[in-house]
Amino acid sequence: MRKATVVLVVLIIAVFGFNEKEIYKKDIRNRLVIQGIGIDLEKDDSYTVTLQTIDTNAQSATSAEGASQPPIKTYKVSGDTIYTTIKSVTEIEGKIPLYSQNRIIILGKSITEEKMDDVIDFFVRDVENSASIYIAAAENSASEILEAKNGEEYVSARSIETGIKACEYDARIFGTQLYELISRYNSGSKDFALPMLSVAEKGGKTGVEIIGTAIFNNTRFREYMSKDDTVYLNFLSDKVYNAAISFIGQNDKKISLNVVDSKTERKLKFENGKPTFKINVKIKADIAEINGGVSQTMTKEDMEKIKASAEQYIYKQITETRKLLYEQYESDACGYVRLLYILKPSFYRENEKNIDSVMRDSIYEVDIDLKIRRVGHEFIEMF
Amino acid sequence: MQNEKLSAFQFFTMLFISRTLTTVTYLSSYTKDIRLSDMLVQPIFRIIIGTLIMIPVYLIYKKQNTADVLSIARSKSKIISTPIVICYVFTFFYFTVMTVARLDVFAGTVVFPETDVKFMIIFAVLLCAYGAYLGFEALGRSAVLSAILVVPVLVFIMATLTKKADLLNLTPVFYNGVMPVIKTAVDSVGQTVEYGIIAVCLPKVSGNIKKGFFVWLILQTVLMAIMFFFAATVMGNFASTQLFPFHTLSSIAEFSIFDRLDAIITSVWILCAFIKAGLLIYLQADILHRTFIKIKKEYLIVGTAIVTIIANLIISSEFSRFAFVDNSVIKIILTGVTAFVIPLGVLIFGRKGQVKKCEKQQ
Repeated sequence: MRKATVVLVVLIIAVFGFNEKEIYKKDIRNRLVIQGIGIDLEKDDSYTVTLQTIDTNAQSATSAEGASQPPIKTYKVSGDTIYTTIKSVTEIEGKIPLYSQNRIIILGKSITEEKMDDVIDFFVRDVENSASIYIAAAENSASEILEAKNGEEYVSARSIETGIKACEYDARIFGTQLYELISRYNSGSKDFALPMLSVAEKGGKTGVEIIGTAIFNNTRFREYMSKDDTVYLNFLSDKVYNAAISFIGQNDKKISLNVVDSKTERKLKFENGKPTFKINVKIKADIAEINGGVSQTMTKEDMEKIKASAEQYIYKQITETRKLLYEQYESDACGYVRLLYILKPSFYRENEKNIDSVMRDSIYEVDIDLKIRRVGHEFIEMF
Repeated sequence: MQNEKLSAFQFFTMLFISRTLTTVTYLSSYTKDIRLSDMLVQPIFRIIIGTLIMIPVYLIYKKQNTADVLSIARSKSKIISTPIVICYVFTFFYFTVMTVARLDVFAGTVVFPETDVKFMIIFAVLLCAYGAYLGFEALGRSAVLSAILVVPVLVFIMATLTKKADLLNLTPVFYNGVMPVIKTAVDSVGQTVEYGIIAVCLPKVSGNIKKGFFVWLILQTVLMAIMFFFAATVMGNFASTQLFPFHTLSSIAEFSIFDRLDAIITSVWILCAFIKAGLLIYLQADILHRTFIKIKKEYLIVGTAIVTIIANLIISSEFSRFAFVDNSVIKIILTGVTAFVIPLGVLIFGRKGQVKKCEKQQ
C-alpha cells in the first residue's frame, strides 16, 4: 500500500508538477521585479509607461558589496493600452513583469487631467498589484519622477513611498491607496485627492519632492493644495492622528503645536430645508515651541491665551479649506456629500444632479475644542 | 466507524469551521444587487430563515433521537428512500466539488495567477479523503483544534483593520427596498450545506443539540456580520470589484512592521477546506455504505475522492464552467431540499414503529 502511494505521488508530480513554462516563470531571474509604475498620455492618445525595476541579475553582486539599495533600472515603453504596453517590456528585456513588489503608481498630468477612467480599470482587474499600493499624481510627467536621479542613483520608488507614508503620518498629504481610490471612484461623486509629486533641483542635485495634495472633481484634476493646507483637509476628513501646526500668537510670537490626537465628529441636520453640517474637531496637542518666547514656567492665563489663539487659527484654516473645496474646486474630497447620501438618502436622491450647488449653499458650523496636554516637560494638569 | 459519536460542542464546532470557509471564500458576484450596509442587516433575516427551516429536523430528532432522516425514510419504503439517498449524496458531492473548485479558482487566479494548479488540487482532495478515512470523530477533534487557530486569526486580522475602517464607506440601509436584502439572506442560507449535514448527522451527536445549534447559528452569523462590517467600512465599493473580497481585505491589513496578512487568511482557508471537504467526503461514503453499497467504506472514500478530482479537473479548466456550476439557485434548491423538504416529508409520512424495525434490520 505504501509503495503504491509513493508511486502515485511520484506519478502526479511527474505529470503535473514539472511544467517547463511554470518553472520559467517561477525563477526570479526571469522576472522583471517592478517597484514603480508611471503612466503618461501622449498627444496621439497612446500611453507611455515608465517602469522602475530592480535589476535581479545585478542584485546579488551588489548585496555582497553591502550596497544600501538594490540596483535600479528604468524602462520606458509606449502602446495603445496599459496592459499591452507593460507586456511589451518583455520584448526588450526578455523578462516577465512581476507586480507583487510594486510600491507606487504615478499618474502624469496628462492622465489626471483627461484619462483617469481608462487607467483605473487596469489596476482593478490586475490581481498581482496589491490593493494597498499608493497612487500619486505628478506635477508634470510621471516618467520624470521615476527617472529622476539623485547624483548617479535613481530616486527609488520605495523611498518615494516612504516619503508619502511619512507625510501622511503628519497629515501633510492626503494619502490614497488603490482600494480607497477605486472605492471613491465607484461611489458616485468620483471626487478624491492624491499626493502630488514634483522633480526638484537643489544645490545641483535632483530629487523627488512631495509638494502637496492634488484635488480631483469628477475624476479630473482641479488644483493642488500645499502640504500646510492639506493638514486642514485632513481635519475635515477626520484623518489626523499626528500633525504640526504653527501660528502667530499674542505679542507676535510664533507658536508650534504638536498634535498628538484628533477626532472630527461630523453630524448632519436640516435647518430651513438646508443641510447643516456640524463639524466638531477635538484636538489634543503639546506646545512644541514658542519662538522668542517665555521660559518653561507658564501661568494658566498664558495657557488660555495660547489655546484661544490656536483655536481661532485652526477654525479659520478649516473654514477656508472647506470653502476652497466646495466653492472653488467643487470637490467632495473630504466626504461630506457621502455623509449626506448615508444620512439623508431621500434628499440626496432629489438633489443628486445639482449636488455641487447644494454643497456650496449648505451651512457648515465648525467648532474647535483644543486641549493642551503638555507645555514642555510638565503636564498642563499640574496648573 | 458506524458507532462514532461526537459531542454537540465538537459537532457544531466542525460545522462552524465548515461554514467559516463559505464566509471567507465569499464571492462578491453573489450580491451584486445589494448595497454594502444591507449586508450588515441580512444576518438578522438569515437567523430567522435558518431557524425556521430546521424545525422539521428538530421535530424528527425530538420524536426519535436514534434515527436520522435517511433511516426513517428507508424504514418507510426502499423505493422512496433511494432518490432521497441520491439527493443527499449528490448535494454533499456538489458542495465538495464547489469547496475544492473555489480553492482552485483562488489558487489559480489570486495566489499563483496564470499557474496550473491541478497538481495542488489533486493533493488537496487526497488529503481531505485521508481526513475522511480517519473518520467522523477524528474530523470533529481536528475541527476543535482548527477553531482554536482560526478564530483568533480572524479576530486578529479584523482588529488590525479597525483604524482603516471609515463609516463613510457605508451606504443607506434598504436604499433599494427590503427584497434584495431578503434575497441575499436566502442566498446565504442556500450556501449553508451544514443544514443538510445536521439532518443526517444528529443521531451521531450527543449532548444539548438545541443549545449547540443556536450557539452555532448565532456565532457564524455574528462572524459573518463582523467580516462584512470591515469589508464595507474599509474597502467600500472596492469590495465589489474583487473576486474574493475577504482575501483582499486581509491583504490591506497591517500590524506594526508586518503587512499583507493575506498569507494568514490563505492558511485559514486551507485548514477550513480540509475539515469541510473531509466531512463531506466522509458523509457521502457513509450514506452509500449504510444504504446501497455493501463494500468497505474506505473504498467508497477513495471512489468519492477520485470522482471529486475528475469533476474538479473538468470545472477548473475553464472559469466559465466554474461560474456556471457555482450557481446560487442550485445551492438554494439543494440546501432547501436536504434541510427542509425531505425532513418535512419524512416528518409527515414517517412512523416510529417502522423506524425501530429498520434499526433492527441494520
